[in-house]
Amino acid sequence: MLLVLFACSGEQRNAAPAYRLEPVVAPARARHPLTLPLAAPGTGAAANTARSELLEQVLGALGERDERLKTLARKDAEQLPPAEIAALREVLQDAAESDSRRGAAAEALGASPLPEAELALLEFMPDLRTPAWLRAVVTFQWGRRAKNLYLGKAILRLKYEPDDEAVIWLADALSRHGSRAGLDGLEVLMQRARTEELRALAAERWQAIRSATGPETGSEMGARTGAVDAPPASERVAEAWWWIGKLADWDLRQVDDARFVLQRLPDWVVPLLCECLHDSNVYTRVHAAQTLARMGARARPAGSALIEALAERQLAPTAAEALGMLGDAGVRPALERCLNAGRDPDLAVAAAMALGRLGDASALPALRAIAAPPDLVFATQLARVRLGDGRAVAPALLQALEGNGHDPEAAATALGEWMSQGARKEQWQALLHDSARGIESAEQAAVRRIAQARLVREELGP
Amino acid sequence: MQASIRIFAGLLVSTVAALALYQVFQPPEAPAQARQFTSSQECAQCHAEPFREWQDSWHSRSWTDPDVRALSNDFANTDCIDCHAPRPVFETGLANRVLPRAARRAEGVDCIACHQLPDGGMAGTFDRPDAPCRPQARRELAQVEFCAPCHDQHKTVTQWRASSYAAQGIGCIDCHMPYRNGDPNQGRDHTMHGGHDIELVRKAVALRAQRSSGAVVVEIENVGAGHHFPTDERSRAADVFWRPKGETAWRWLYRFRSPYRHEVELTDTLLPAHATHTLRIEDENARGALEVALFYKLTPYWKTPAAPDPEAEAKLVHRVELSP
Repeated sequence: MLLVLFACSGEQRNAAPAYRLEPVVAPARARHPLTLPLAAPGTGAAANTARSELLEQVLGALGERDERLKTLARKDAEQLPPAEIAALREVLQDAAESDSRRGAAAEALGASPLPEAELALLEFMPDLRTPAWLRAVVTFQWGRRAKNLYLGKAILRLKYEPDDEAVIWLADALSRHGSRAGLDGLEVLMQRARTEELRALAAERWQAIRSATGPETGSEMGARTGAVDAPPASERVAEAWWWIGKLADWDLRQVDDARFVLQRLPDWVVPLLCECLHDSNVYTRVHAAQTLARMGARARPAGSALIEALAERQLAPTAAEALGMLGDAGVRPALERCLNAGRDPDLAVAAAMALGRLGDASALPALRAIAAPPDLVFATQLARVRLGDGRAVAPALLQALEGNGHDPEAAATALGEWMSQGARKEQWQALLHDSARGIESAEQAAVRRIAQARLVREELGP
Repeated sequence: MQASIRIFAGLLVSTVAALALYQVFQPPEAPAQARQFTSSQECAQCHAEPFREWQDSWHSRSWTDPDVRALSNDFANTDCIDCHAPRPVFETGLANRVLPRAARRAEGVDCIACHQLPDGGMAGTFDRPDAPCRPQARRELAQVEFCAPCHDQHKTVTQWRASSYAAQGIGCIDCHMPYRNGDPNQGRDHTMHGGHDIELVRKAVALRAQRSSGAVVVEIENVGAGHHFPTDERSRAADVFWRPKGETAWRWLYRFRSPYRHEVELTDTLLPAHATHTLRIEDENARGALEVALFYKLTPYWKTPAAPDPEAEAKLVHRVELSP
């Protein structure tokens, strides 16, 4: 009996500690209550349409060309009570109002220090029925405010805002709050904005932001230092936890909005997301890991937390994917251990793909050693292309392209990476479906893959 | 001697009693050894018919179908992965959202996604601990909550709950997974007929047209779908067209569709279960003989939005002719 007890106690002593799961988000949200309103006045309910004499005077003066009058009107707008903000919002929304009055309402909302005014501007922006010029004005006025309280909601506008000029002002304003979320958009607009004037404006703001925040983009800076920004103000943290709370939402569109915002917050959000990897809600855990994955090199400080997360069965595949996005060769041994066929096959496949994304060719021996199961072998082949082993795996990928049960489009993409380094690069490009011709049909895709297979055979030679 | 006989008889009775007790209390047949299934291909050996049906189904093509790949931006919209290559429903539980899978995505919504249990067995209709996949009878497979983790992302189950079908207890599988040849003994068809089956779509709606007060009144009624028509918000669309008899080009009249969130200029026009939508054609050209038709599209966009060609890009659901 004593021997049995001893054996049992020894087993307990050697067992790995269980991965810690506990409520994280709810207590954090209780510690960081969001004191700001979440909906603009008049949203979802009848707006308060009372318009005081002062409000009409403000609108009238802001519609004038006289700068002195406008300055005075902006001062008056600062004094408007919350009840008047709904009336301003109504003027802004009302297509029957004159352009001058709608622009004046936007300016008055920009001058008001009330959070309700800021919300009225932010929640107005994505409306496609609004003329582009007004959306741009609204965005500009949001950026002009003395204090911006809702960083996340402004970042979310980047996802839905279709107007070039509005995106420029959003990016400009966000940069002043430590978010370089709009830089990528500016880089695109420098090339493709709808007018030459806007392309020049995008270039000018891009240059100004880079001068003010340093020579690197957010991801470049994260890659260099792994540094975490200065501690944010308490309302920023409260808003971040509010967005994190949405990671457990049923509706994936809400989840994606939250991920979009969180991945673009300054680097101080990384430790918060690491905490979430221990939340008792599996969706919070998985979506927090996905957010870290999307942050790429900026999430390098999360490396050890993600390695720890490989011990949690449901989270492990996503944690492995995220580790592959960090660009940190230090995580390679942890990923290689996950290739062990005795572990969850989902984790092994995710780890193989992650090793490919990591880009460290030192992983090649571990990947080459995998001989089963077939799905994992296929994943290692895809990864090996990224690590420069394309010629060795091309025959196997060719079989997948021709339909041996594995994902033919994944094989086509990987072979495309390999072919893009070869002599038949242009021929391969010419075979790709032009999305301008509409959605590729199943028959067209089959014909394309036959042609691609022929080209791969030529590249491989006899 | 008598003592020997008594001893022998006693031993005999004891032996018989022991054998009888063994028969009654013998341990159950040893369960099959637990086995990790890594691919739905492994199911085909024993379950050839449902496997073949599944191969013909759109569940098996949920990852590879070109339409899905295009609409999901080749799965760059990673949220689509959750339902187009899901981990087992039983892992996260009924009515909870599924998690995305990393392995064997090309198999789409496969056998394992619906049948794999967290303990390694398989959910099925009977308990068979001796079978290699150790199936357990799980009633949940027949519940709408089983389909909800994916199909309520686009609100189909929510729409069903608001219909009279829910009150009558007519669930998803009653229409989409009927018994083979109508015989419960043959099991349920795993082809999972849905929006890709135009015959099923035809049973879902009725199209009527008549002349009234100088106009043509067109009615579209959701007569058979236990959810909105079309369901699966955003991707699907149904369009009403008309044309004077003899013309080749169709004239667009109305669209049933739930728009993407960024399409704020559009409103949700899906037709709820049991509802009828009425349209009027007040056009000089509609006074003569004409045709009215309802077309169904699996993707929302026309190649040439200004001049859509429904016969080339959509499936005809119903067509009615009206004389002058």
